[in-house]
Amino acid sequence: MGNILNYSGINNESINANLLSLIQELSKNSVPSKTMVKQTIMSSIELLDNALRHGVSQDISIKLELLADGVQITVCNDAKLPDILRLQEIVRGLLRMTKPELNALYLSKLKEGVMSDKGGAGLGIIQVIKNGAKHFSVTYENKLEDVFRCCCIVNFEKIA
Amino acid sequence: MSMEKKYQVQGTASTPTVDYHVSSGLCTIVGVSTPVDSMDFYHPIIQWVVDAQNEIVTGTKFEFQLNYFNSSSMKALLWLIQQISDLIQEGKQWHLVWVVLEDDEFMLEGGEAIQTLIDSPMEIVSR
Repeated sequence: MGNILNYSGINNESINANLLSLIQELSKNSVPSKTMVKQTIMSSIELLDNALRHGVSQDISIKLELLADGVQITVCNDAKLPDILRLQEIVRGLLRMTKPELNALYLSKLKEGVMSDKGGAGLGIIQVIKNGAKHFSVTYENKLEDVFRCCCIVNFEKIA
Repeated sequence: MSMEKKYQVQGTASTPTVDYHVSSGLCTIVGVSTPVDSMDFYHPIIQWVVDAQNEIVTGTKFEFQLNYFNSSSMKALLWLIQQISDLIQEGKQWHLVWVVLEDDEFMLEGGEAIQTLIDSPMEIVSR
């Protein structure tokens, strides 16, 4: 048990790509099953993309922890409060959905949804929950004036 | 303006290798696809297919083999595959193939999702 990765610093598209390569290598060697490796990588991709698209600075952190009962991914970035509250609301709504409802929403957004001006397809958070997230919380605290530190904490259960 | 016979891009840590050629019979996209703005990457491929449609040989296979992809790429890939599918519906004798590596259930789910959203058949093969 313990940290697989604990990065804190600047992020941009190039660092993002390198972080994902690193996560891929580290999780292959430390996460117990192939499905969990894939869950960890695919979900980290979406959380880092989200931080890049909606962050108000390049200051991010990502922590991957191997727990007794699974894996925890924590991604933090600076954001504006309305964006954080909207994310909280989206996550709450998605967590209430059944698997078939999530799949139907995913397919309808994939087909009909439009790309945002930031390049997002509105599918990332759905994808993380569809990947099998057992727990997904969004926390925040005031950093300075109207900037808040927002953290997404996602857990996946251990799969043998 | 002359149409380019090929569209090739070397893969990077965040984008796949693209090898599209009008006469090779096999057009492939292979690798990782996690650009933040995926349409920047995929739009020129879609445009090339549209421009080259009358030159691309009969029987050409369009293969997609993505180890990892973000959801933004999934959307852009659907647009590309939908475009190819529409041209198949109009009479082009091409084939769509989605490659799944080592029983990867996420790649399989991605392929199955696209299958339900297009009008032409797309074969899913395991390697």
